[in-house]
Amino acid sequence: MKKALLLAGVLVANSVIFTSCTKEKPVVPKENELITTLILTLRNEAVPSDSVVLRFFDIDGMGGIPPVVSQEGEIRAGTLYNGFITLLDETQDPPGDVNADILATDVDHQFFYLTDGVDLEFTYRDFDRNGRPLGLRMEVKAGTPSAGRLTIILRHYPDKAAPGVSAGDITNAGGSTDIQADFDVEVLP
Amino acid sequence: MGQDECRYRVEVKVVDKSSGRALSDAFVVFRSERGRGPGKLTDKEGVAVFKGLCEGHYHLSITHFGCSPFDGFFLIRSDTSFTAMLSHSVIELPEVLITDNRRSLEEVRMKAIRTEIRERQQFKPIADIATSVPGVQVLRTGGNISKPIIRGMNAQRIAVLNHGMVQAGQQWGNDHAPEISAFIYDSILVVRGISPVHLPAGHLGGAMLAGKSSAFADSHWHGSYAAGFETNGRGHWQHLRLDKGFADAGGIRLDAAFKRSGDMHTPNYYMRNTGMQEWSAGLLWKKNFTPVWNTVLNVDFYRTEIGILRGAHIGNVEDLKEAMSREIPFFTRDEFSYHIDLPRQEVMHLTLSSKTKIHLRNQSEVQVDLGAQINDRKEFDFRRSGENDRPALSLYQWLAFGEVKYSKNFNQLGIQYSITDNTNLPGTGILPLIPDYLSHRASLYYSGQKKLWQKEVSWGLRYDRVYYQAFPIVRSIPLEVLEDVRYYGGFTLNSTINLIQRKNFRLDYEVQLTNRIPEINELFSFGLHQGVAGIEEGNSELRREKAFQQHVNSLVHIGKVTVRADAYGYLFGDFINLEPTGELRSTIRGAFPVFAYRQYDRSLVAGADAIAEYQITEQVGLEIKSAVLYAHHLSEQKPIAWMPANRAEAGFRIKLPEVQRVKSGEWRIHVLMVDRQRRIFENQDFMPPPPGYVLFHTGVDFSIPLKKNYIAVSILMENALNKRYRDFLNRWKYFSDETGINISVSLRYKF
Repeated sequence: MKKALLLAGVLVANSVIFTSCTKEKPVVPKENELITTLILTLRNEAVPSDSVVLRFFDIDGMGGIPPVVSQEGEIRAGTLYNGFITLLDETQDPPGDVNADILATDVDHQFFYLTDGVDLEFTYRDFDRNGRPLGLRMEVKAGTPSAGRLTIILRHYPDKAAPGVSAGDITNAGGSTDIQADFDVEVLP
Repeated sequence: MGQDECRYRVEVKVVDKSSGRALSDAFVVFRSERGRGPGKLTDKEGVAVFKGLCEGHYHLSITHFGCSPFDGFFLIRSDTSFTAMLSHSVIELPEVLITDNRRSLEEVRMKAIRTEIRERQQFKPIADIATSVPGVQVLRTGGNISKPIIRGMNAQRIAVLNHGMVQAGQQWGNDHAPEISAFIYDSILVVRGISPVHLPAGHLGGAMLAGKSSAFADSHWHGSYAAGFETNGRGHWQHLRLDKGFADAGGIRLDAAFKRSGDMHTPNYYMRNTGMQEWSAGLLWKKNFTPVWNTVLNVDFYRTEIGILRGAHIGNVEDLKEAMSREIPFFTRDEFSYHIDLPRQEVMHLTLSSKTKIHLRNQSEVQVDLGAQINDRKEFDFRRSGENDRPALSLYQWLAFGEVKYSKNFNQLGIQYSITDNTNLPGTGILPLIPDYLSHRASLYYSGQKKLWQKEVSWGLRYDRVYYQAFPIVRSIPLEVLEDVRYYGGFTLNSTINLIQRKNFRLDYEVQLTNRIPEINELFSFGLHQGVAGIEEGNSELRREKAFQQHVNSLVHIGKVTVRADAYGYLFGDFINLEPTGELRSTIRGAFPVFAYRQYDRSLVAGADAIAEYQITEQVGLEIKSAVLYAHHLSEQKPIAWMPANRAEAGFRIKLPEVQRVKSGEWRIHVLMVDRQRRIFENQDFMPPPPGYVLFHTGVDFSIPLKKNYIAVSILMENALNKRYRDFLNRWKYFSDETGINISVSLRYKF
């Protein structure tokens, strides 16, 4: 019994010594998969100076700060626009260019443009190595005056060969969602 | 040495360990250096008599229908008679019934998985094997990742011990199984309810203990070789064990095992990317330095690669809804493959431990245990950037453990110390779910047993002091790493009383008060949980969880019927649970439901487990099991989510006649009925609970004697009717059906 108590005592002493041994603070990890910003720029084909910029900005990824959605310029009925998407990681300085990542893996990505109530028609203008749509560049036709929602979705590993997917129909695309940004938009007369 | 003196008479009596009944028709064989002796069957009194045995060492093996085989090693140098006790039933614990010797009540609480069940199923995840104990269920992520649930308690509330050490990884989340190979262990013990206070963890809800035997038969090389295959997933495995005793009764033992399987199959389609590979190896060395001092060294290595169902890789909650609406998961291909692609887990554990026992005078002993574990976990997922060789999660954890224990008779006093250092290896480019942390845990315990008022009473006290130094990441702009240092104290008080102890009836009452210290993931986790598209948020404000639990365990023998029925109730204060908060967080990746750890003032978990065995005739045995559970947050009047549904099982064992050289044949038919989990609200899960189901399993075991040994063959057919179903406790229920029919064949040769 005495022996046991002695050993126990040694262990307690050890524990006190060990407690003083602490861990060093780790460096702030670098998050390189983050996308903070999606910008859809629409340029009037006829009047290049006339443009619309839709911006979806979410600084903290999974964090609790709500995203900020903004719009500059107005979409006019009956206008044909050249559209392009810019993806950024603005937590970096200078902001990280996410477009380059998407272009490098174009076969595994596709954008989808879903409209609800608003008369906008999207046509893909860029294609991957297999000749299937990517969707960083597109043509947008604003139809009749209307208001509703535009949802831009970037799918990772969609099945681009599935029926309708190459025409921009997401129903059979599958894959996982990398980006989903909603905009309330209006086509003005 | 007296080879000519072959004149000894040896009488062997074989009895059932739990009831003390004599077992007739048990097959008893002596083997010596000179080869295998004639075998004999025991008579109605359970006795087999051997005459004309020579002086010398003998192996004795006894087999009986429905029993775990008995193996022993003896020196015979006079006429001898002895009794061998065979575990004749699943209900094998209370040996006390047949002996006047006092037994440790602690021992009585532990439930060992029968050897033949373990050997028949050792290619499965270890938690799946434990489900043969009523009241034990599993929380699955597909077919290869299973976490045990004991009487409704899982994760942090229970412990998985690997040769006495806490197996790391249980705090990493629900999709992290206890990574232990069932091949290289000899025993799997399940503690339902109250755990002995000397276990380093699992004091609230029980424990599962994988252990190795350090008993060596003799000083020759012995061993076993097992191999097998299964049709579903086209899995195959091999296990080799070698052991050799030393003259000092110590010995050395080596194990090596490998398993590989490919894409599993539901009744209708292949589950793409559900293959796995597993390597395990073990070394055990026991030395008796002096008659009173022995040391056991143990080294275990485990490495696995597990594929995650391709269709379970989703982005946001819209993807989850879409996946749930599909009959067949996305990316399903109509072809089989062994290839393990993305997503996948790669895990390595290396465990080293030593146990030193020093026997002192007066039947007392001191035991000193030391151990260390190195754990490496990597998870690979589809990267947007295409850098798929870069892990999305890379954790390195080491832990060190030390214990000194003094025991005398049934009393134990001990002190434990453990350090855990968890580091997220940089370079993943993804913020880790569990932060870097360091923890120190010092524990002191005392347990004892005494006869009070003619009743056997045991008690245990334990105090834990925990220090956490964690480095949670704050999602501020820019990111910031905090340092959070805190201390906790927690205690456990328990007692077991053997209320009734008669020849045919035993009743035990257990009671425990526990104060559980919140774990690191409950306090600090933050991030996306793949597979459920949920954001998980720890809660650094959590208080200790308090639990008051009572268990009543009974055992009855009536003629040929043996019944064990247990009832239990846990009353919780500040029950910690991960729950949907109702918030749908909008991000650039879409919307994600937020899950947070929160506490409930009062919660109740109550239930009952029962098992009954009926030996209908000499040839036919029936076994019936059932488990029911009720789990409710009393303070908010809502069910506790993710609890097992009620279930019942029935199994027949039919002894087959000997055909030519095929012996000890047994045919088993097994029906499992699982009810729909009705006790859940709509807002507690993404989809309504799947309907209940009924599964049929069947199997045949037999052995083929060879010159000196025998080959044991086990054929198992699971989900024999190829039933299509989904299980409430499988996290892939949103995506895929469960696996269909599986036929496995295992061979085992002991030498």
